[in-house]
Parts: sequence; C-alpha cells; structure tokens
Amino acid sequence: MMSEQFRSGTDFQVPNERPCAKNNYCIPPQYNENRIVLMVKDPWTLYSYWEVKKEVEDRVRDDMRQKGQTASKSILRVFDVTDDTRGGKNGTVLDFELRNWANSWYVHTGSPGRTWLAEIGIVSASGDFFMLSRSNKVAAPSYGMSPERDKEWDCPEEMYYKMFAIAGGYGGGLSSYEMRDILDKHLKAWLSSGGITSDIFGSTGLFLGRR
Amino acid sequence: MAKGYLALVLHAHLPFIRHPESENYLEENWLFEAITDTYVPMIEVFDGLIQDNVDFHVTFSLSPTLMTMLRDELLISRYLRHLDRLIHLSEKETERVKNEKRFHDLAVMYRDRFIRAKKVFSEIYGKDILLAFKKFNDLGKLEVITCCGTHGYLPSIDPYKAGIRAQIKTAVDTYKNVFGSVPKGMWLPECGYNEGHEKILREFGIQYFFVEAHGVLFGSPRPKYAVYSPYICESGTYVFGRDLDSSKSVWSAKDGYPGNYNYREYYRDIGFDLDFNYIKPYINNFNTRVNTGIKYYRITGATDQKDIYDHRLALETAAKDSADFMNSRQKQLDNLVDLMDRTPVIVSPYDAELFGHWWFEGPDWLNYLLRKMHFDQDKIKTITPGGYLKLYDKYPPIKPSMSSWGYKGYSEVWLDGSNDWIYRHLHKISELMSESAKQYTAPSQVEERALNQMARELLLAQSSDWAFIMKTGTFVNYAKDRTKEHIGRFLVLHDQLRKGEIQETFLKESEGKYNIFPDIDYRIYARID
Repeated sequence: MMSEQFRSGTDFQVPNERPCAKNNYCIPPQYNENRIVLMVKDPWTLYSYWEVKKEVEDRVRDDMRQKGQTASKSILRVFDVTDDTRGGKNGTVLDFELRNWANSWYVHTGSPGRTWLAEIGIVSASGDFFMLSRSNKVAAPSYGMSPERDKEWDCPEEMYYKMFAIAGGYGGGLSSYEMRDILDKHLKAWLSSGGITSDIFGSTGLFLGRR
Repeated sequence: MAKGYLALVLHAHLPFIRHPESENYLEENWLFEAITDTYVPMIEVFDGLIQDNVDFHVTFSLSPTLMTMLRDELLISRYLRHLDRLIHLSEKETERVKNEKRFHDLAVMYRDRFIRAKKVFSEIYGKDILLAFKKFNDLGKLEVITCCGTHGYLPSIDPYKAGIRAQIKTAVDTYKNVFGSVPKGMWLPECGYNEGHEKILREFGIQYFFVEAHGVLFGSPRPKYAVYSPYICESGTYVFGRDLDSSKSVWSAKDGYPGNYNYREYYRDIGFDLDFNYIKPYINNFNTRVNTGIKYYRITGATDQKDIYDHRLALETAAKDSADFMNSRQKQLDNLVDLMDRTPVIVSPYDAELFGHWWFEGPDWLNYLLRKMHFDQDKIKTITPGGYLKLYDKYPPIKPSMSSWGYKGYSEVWLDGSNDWIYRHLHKISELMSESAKQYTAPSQVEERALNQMARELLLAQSSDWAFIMKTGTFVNYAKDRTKEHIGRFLVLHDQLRKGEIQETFLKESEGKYNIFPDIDYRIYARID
C-alpha cells in the first residue's frame, strides 16, 4: 500500500488541448506534488524517482533557519529497514548527494534480500537531515540458494546442486562442490547474456526489437 | 510408463495496435505477419496431428490484446486485403523468376502458402482463428491459457495492487468471452514475478503460473526438485519454473537450432532486395521498404553472400533438430530419475512467434517433435501443467523469488535509462484512477464511460512492449508516442471528469480508437489493498 506521502491533489496542469501534435500528446513533466517512489531493479539495485513540492521545501528550509541551521546539500538517503529499524541490524544507511536537480537515481545497494526505504531531504551544515519526502518500502530479492529447508521436502545442499546442474545442462558426474562453482558461474553467465532478450529471439522482440 | 514429461508452452502476444484513423501504420503489419507466418501454420500443425491421431499436449498462451485483435473486424478486413496483396505479389514473382528453377520453386511455395493461409483463415475457420484454439482446447490437445490484460510487466505496477488486479481481471474476462471458462493458468508477461502476485492470481481462480528458473531455484524453502516439479505457494497457486537447458537449445541465436545455416534467412526479404517501385504497390504504399515475407535465401553462415534457400534440406534439418531435442530431453530425464522420487516435468516455454515468423521451419520442427515423441519412443510424454497437477495429491511448498526472463533475469529491460521516465507517469495515473474509482460510486452514464475509458488508457499505457521497444532501440518513436498518447488521453479524461466537463466527441473518439475490453468496469481500481 502506498504511504500517505503519495496521496496528491490534482493541481498539476493537464494539457487541455489535445493533441499537441499528431500522435504526440503532451504530458506534464511533473505533477506538483511531494512524493518519492522506490522500485526494485534487481537484487543489488533500486530505482527511485521523486518530485518535491515547492511549498514543502520552503517550509523545511524555514524550519532549518528557525533551528539556526543552514542548508548544505540535497540528499537521497536509503535505509535498510529489513529488521523494522532504520538502518537495520547492520546499520546500512546509504547517502547520495544530489546535484543538478536530479529527480531520479539508481541506487546500488550491493545487498540482495534486504528491505529498503528512501527519503529525500536536505542536510544542514552541521549534518542534520531534514526530510522532504519518504518513499514506499521495497524488498529486493535474495540471490542464490535459500538456507531455509522444509522438513517434509528436505533438500540438502548436495542434492540442490545436482538438480541445478541438470537444469543448467551439465548432467551428472561432478562433485557438489565442483557443481556449485560451475553453476554459480553458469547462472551468472546465463542471466547476464540475457538468456533471451540480448540474444536473437526476445519475448515480443520477435516483432518489436529486431527490425 | 513414461520416465518423465515435457510441458511445451507457447506464448503468443502482440501489443494492441489498431489504427482506425489511418492505414499508414506499418506496425499493424506485425499482426498480419504473425497470422500468416505463425498462427495459421501452427493451427495446421495441430489439425494435422489430430487428424493422424497423434497424442500430444501443448500449453498455448494467447494474450488478451492478441485475442481482441484477432476478433476485430477492421483488422480482419485489413488482414485479408494484406493477404490478397501478398498472393498477387507471389503470383507476380512466379512470373518474374520463371526461368530460374530454384527461385521459381520457392515463389510457387510462397504463393501456395499464402493461398493456403487464406483458405485456413477465411474458409476453414470463418475469419475467426480463435475458434481453432477453442477446438484444440476443447479436445484437450491444447491447454489454452492467457496472460495479463495488456501484457503489463507486473513488477513495475507493484506499488499499485489494484493495477495488478485490473491486469489479471481483464485477462480472465477476455479469456472467458472466447473460451467460456476461467483459464487454468496464466503466463506472467516476461515471466515478471514479484512476491504477492500469486495471491492475486488465486483471487481470480488461476491455478498456476510460470517463473524463470531462478524464480524457483532461489525460492524458499529450498526447492527439492529444482525446476522439475511444480510447487505450491501459500495462496494455493502452483508455480512452474522454466528449464534453462531446453530453452537455450531453441532460443539461442548462436547455439540454438534456429541458427542452423540450412534454415531460411529472415533478413533477406524481397521487400528490401527488389526494385522499390516493383514492391511498393504490394506493401500498402508505405514510403519505406518493409518485409513482405518472401525470402529466397538460407542463413548460409556469417556472410553476406547467401545461398538460395533449399526448403527440402531445411525440413530435413528441422527433423534432425527435433530428434536432437527429444534425445536431449531423454538424457535429461536419465539424469533426473535417480534423483527424484516422483516423475519429473521439463517446462519449455517459447514465444509462439518464434515459430514460423523468425524461425521459418519452427512449426515443422514442432510437428516432427510431437510426432516422434508419439511414434518413436515412450520414455517422455507431453503434458500440460493442468495435467501434471492431477498426478499427485501434494506438491512441495515455495515462496518464489522475484525474477523475469529478460536480460539479467530481473527488471533491467523494462527499467533502465531508456524507459525509466515512464514510471512516474504510469504510477501517477494509477493513483488518479484509484482515487477516481473510489470517488465516483454513483456516476452518471457519461461519467461511467469516461472512467471506463480512463481504465483502458491506463492499461494500454502499461503494456510492457513500449518499455521494451524503448530499450531495444527500434520503433522507439512509436512506443514513445503510444505511451504518451495513453497517458495524455487519461489525463485529459480525468481533467474533464473532475471539472464536470466531459467532451463527448473526445470520449467517443477515444472509445472508438482504443476499444479493447468492452465490458471493463473501472470499479476494480477502487480496491487498493
């Protein structure tokens, strides 16, 4: 569910003449609202986009001034909230300084299997963070074999890699240690070769991507 | 008793492309080419197998946008005109190359294929080839399933569960209109899965879905049978994982069967090879060269000097490749049987349009494979997921892992610098849709129409195809225009609705142009959990 920060009015400018040009509808660059959204790109990477309402920024800057602080820089702050605490047990908080009116960012967390939350804000000269907007939470997937085992359907590691080997086209005959090593590499190669879309036959790409 | 099963899954999809306002959109040709090259040849393969009493079971996914287009009168009439032009062109070709035997044989082959396609499409199935799929489904030979309403890539819609619900409900409704029941399974667009989707599938009575291999292999608890068994999610939905080995042998351009030098070369089409003035009357007078479907050369090798296509040699190669595929699956099973205490199933999904359109001999390969499996051996049998789920009382549990079958296995294709700009707009209109759905509980007739059209525009804007095209770099302007157009139309309608100034002419024009999901009910967006 989206957090309250996502609720918005409808006071953006909608192009009321349509279309701007043949087959070229105008869409507003922004929606005059205060929001930041977090999406998962892959286990190691998030994507965030945002928009800050001028009134909110003015209010936050006033607040800073009243507290005797001066704005230093705009920050995208990303928290590991896996354990329901800001920064998580391992205390991960990632800060990214925003310049040139950036309104989106790819965040390389490098940590699969964690849950994340982002805030956009201003850091004062003394290092205090003043939030402008807070995002939704997202869970990045884990990467690799799950440590969790089901009692009824138990799958020891050796069995997992033997099965994995067959799935990867390696057949049997290797030790589980050798298989694990080979298959980790195999899977990475398979995924990064695109399996599909970078190769000739892409899904939908049959018509759309290879002309 | 079979040692194992093969679940072939063919996913047929094209985005909703229908331009009543103009005949100059060559993108409409994609549907026409797919009908002639893929859907009709596939239908002929299945009809032939049934006629010869070959026992086979294949899963076939038809996307709701494709089903809608295949029943659209305007597109059908344009398709028939397109086909007539091709027949004329191929007849003219038989004259042009009458003194060159090898070319002439091919020209005759194309002419006969086009005439045959017209007969199958118009006469045998009465301009409604969905009837063929319904027949195969009713006979239990195909398990026809569907995918999300407009092929929306679900992980990108995730913040808005109502949007996922709408993608699934419109799919189920479209399917029910054609097949008269709820589909057993659903193909998630691009195999794009994230935690929670299985629950929504279950809400609509979907029994199973598919994920890319690592969606299962990285799932939790650790999957006992890798991708060789379905698993049950907490919601009660079953999930099947794609087998990488069998997929690669068909998909891969370098190592896969379609790259064999004996097969037909896709990129040498007379639409590009012959004098433009000769071709132009047959390609709808487009001012640019386009493919006609008439191609005289084989892949030959990594060279521009292509040999003339030899159809008989290509068919022999397809027969060999189908035998190789079958033998490879048998070997896979030999390795699996000692490790598994139940019968393994190998799930091999492919885009249907690979067969026939890109890989000209693909339908023949499939034909040979299914016949060989039936007549030549009994180690491996074809099965559908629905059939496999009847074999056992219990299946191991899993929480699948987020995944897709796209480049790098996650969302890279649909979320990168080329297309990420669309999401702030798609999410915004999703939010406005939900707010409006909650607000307008007792709309006037015209308000209801506007709200339903807003839902159509939102769904169409979410098609994964647009982001995909932006990423791959061909037809980018069309994809951008369509994205902007649907978002733009949505915003205009929303603005008019909010101000109480709905313009009938604009509403009607939108309804006429984007007439997908005639029975849509915008209230699906009122629920936001």
